[in-house]
Amino acid sequence: MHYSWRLKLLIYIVLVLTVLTVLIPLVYVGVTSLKSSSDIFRGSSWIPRPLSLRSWMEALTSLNIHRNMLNSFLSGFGAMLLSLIILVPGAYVFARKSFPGKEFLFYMVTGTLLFPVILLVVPITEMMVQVKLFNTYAGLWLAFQTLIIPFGMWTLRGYFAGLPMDLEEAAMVYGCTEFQAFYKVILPISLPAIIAVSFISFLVGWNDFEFSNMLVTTESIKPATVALYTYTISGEQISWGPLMAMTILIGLPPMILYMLAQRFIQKGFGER
Amino acid sequence: MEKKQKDKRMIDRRTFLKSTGILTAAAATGLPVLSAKRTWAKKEFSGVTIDYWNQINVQNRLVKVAIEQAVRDFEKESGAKVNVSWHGYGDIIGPKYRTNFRAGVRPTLFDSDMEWAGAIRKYLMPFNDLIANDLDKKTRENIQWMEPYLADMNRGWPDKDKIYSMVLWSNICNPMCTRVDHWKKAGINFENNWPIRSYDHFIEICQRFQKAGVSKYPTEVYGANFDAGDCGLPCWAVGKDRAKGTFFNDDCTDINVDSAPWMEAIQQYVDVFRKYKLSSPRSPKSGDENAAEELALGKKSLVEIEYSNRGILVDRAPDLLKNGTIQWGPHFTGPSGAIGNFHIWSFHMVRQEGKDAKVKERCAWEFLKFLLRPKYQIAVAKPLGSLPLRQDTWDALKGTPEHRFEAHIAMLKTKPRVWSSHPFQVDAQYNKFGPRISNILNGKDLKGEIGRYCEEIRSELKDFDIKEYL
Amino acid sequence: MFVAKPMDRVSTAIRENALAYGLLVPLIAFLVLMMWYPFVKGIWISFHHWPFMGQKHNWVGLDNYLWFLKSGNFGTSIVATLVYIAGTFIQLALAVIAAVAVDQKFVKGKTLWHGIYLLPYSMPPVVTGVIWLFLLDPDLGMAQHYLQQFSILQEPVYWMVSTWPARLVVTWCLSWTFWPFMFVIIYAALQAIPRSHYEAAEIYGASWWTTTTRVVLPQIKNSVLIAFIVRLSWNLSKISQVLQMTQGGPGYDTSILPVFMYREAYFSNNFGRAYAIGIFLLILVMIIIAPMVKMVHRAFKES
Repeated sequence: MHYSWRLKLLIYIVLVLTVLTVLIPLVYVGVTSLKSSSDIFRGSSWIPRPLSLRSWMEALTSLNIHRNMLNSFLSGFGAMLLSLIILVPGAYVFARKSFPGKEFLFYMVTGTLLFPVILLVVPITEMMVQVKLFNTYAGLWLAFQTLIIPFGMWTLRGYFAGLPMDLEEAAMVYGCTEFQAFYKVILPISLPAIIAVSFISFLVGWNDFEFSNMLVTTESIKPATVALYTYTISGEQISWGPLMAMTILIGLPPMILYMLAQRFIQKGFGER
Repeated sequence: MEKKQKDKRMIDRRTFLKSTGILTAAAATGLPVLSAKRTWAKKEFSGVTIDYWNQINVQNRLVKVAIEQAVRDFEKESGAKVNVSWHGYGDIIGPKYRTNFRAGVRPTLFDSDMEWAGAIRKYLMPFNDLIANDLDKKTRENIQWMEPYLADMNRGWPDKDKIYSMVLWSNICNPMCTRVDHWKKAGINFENNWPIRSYDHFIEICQRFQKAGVSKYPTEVYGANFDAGDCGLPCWAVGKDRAKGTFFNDDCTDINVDSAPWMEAIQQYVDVFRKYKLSSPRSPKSGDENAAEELALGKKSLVEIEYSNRGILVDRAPDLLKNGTIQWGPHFTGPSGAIGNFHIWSFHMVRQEGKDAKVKERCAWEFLKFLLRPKYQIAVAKPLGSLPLRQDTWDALKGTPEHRFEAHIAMLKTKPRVWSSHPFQVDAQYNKFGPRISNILNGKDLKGEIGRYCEEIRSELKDFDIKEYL
Repeated sequence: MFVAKPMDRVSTAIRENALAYGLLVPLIAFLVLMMWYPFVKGIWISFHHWPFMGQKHNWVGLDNYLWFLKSGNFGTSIVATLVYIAGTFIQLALAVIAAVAVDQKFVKGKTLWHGIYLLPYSMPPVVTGVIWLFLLDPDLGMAQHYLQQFSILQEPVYWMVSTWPARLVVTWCLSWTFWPFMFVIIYAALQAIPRSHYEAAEIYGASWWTTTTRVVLPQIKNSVLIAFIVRLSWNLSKISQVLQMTQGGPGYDTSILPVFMYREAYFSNNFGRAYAIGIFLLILVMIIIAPMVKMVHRAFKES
């Protein structure tokens, strides 16, 4: 196809404008975190005058940011492991096996995709208090599954369904049982998709606020998102400099992880 | 002449202040004199760890430093370990404390406005015996003045003779704070016009600031959720009518906010913004923190804030405090002569469980007695701006250029009211009231909003069973 | 004749599909424990006076629902929710345009563009809420500063105190943060279109515009629809930004239904009322997405 230069220009303009929309706020946040507090009050500028690391110092020392980030990591990691236990076998079965009740179950699972999950925050909190999982990592790991499973199921099922249908048969010819065919043949091939789902599960845990805020109260479990939120609405005077530094601290790890996972995500979504 | 009238009103109100008699009775029984100084052996509490949830540090870094110092000194003397966690207002006005307590996560002691701790009263320990038997005569005498206020706060509870708060420092809300340099610039005589006498006087002075171009929005009214029912407006209501000017009535079975004094007060409050345009466009979401900041930065001339906002003033304009440019004064009042509500900031001890329970409780009490020593009473009160519990420390706080202590005493002399610690008070005063004031400041109909608000509160009060909280 | 009894049929089915059912156990456990049971329990809670601290829970029937309908805030909340939902359209527009742009054959460094576009979605929404809270600050923020410099605004807009600016701000923040979700799905769908379709279009001499609108876009219609429906539902679960930026205010003007529910549960500790509001949310979502789900279902049946 011949692409006129006008078209190419237009496309590149669109691309650049979108990039600016995404990046300008982030760059400005970075710049602000390097300003002194009087500089911030002076108004908008792109160059810190003078260059000050005070905001970063404050962000790293005040509040409990290291502990909070460790908590975020633990809550995300556990959620990821738990989700794999639920998702991988489940998606496999839906994609490649038929059994009585499959269609009914499938509609149920798809339904969860469209369900406004926030509705469950109230009863799940009540449940956690009653079974004494309130303010524990386990409570968070379980609660996060409501956010992970619907989407993970949709993605992973699609991926498994896209694999050639006779793989298991071929494996069984060589003497594998059904189950061995699953974990010796299918799983290794599906690694990209499984890794993609792992990344996403972890990040759902790291990024969550709605469940974490209600289920967690003590510092020893409080994740970084809740700490940041509490600080913003605490009623104290907001120091913007340290706050910007904190947003970078908390926002950078998931950004990097998403970048790393990109390749897998593309592969995982691509097969349909 | 005005002063004589004020005194007259004070005398009429004496009947309102029936003392619970606990403190006086204890003093009269001639119990053995126990020293407030160490009654325990040095390092007696080695190996004991207590958890202290601190809120008094909010807004004020210097107070945090003072508390940390007090904790360190106590740890050295007693051998105990005190784990301090630093919390904010939102943690207790919101559900964090309630949720934690219910789920079993509780400290050994915590400080907060007693009003906010009403919902968790059943987890707390009363102080009656400890105050009666374990404080020396001198200390007891000097803390007696608080009695009637504690009684007022406990109204509405079936067990109102039990004291659950150990008040160490407290605030009366709200004083007025101003910048003398603005008065000079606007050509208004400060001595003759301070403190502000009445609502009309207040409007007049603010308008003069505006006309002279000294500040575009000389003052501020608050519509933020946590400030609308907390800073300013309740003071106006109490100034109009002492009995009807509180949120809940005397036995906390009804809400007073649709009474005439309140409706007038709200109308006058809103007029400052909508009619006279003396308050900034932020008003519907404004709070005392940003008003204090703008005062420090010179954008405002005369604001009603809280003594605890002093931390912001210290941060932004320490010199103005040192050279007396910033002055505190009592709020203006109305027909009732009473100024404001007591924001009783107190310490609460939580019932402990487990094998160390008794030792921990004893250790917590010793920590509180430690904080009652004049040295620490003064160390925290100075930056915080509050009244310490010990009357004999008051002299040490007088005479600062900003006169905040003198302002505080002037307000105390009018025998203010106290916010009730009824468990529903917090929701009624903050979560449900704030949005209504915000709406009215944005132009919605006052009668309609307050009518709906009172209907909502009344329907909840009807189903409310306070015995659940005992 | 030997007729299998029902129980026998069940046990045979279980035996034959043992692996399938075995592998499904975690999933079914999850569905029952973490989705169905809480959902039903919530409905149970909504018919009671259920304060978080109290022990007694009295049956009140439909009182909680009626309270919300009569509170005078019902209409405000619904309008706010609809404005918030409209953000989904902004996300869609951005996503489609960006995806089509990146997909063009001549564009180099596709992974890089893809990566950058993913950034807003990768961060916690709490973080993006803080970012925009700062950028849109009337006094200190860059956005209003430049709008005033270019004379689009005469004076700072205190958006947190006015109804419609507040609504627009939270909707914008939602859109900026979550559009990459649809971008990724649509882009993947575009990538899945076989080369042969493009080649066929070229043989017929179709222009770029015709190719894009007649060949490319129709092929991704299903993906777009699914992404849209899912995103719409998910947008309504993302409330941290609203809570940070406006706390549902001024008054209740930005208290979209989930925010109202969260406030009632989290601040007023009244679980019964909170869940009743949640049911209204569920009904609203079902009404809006039902026709769209029908469309997708029909499309799948055809293919």
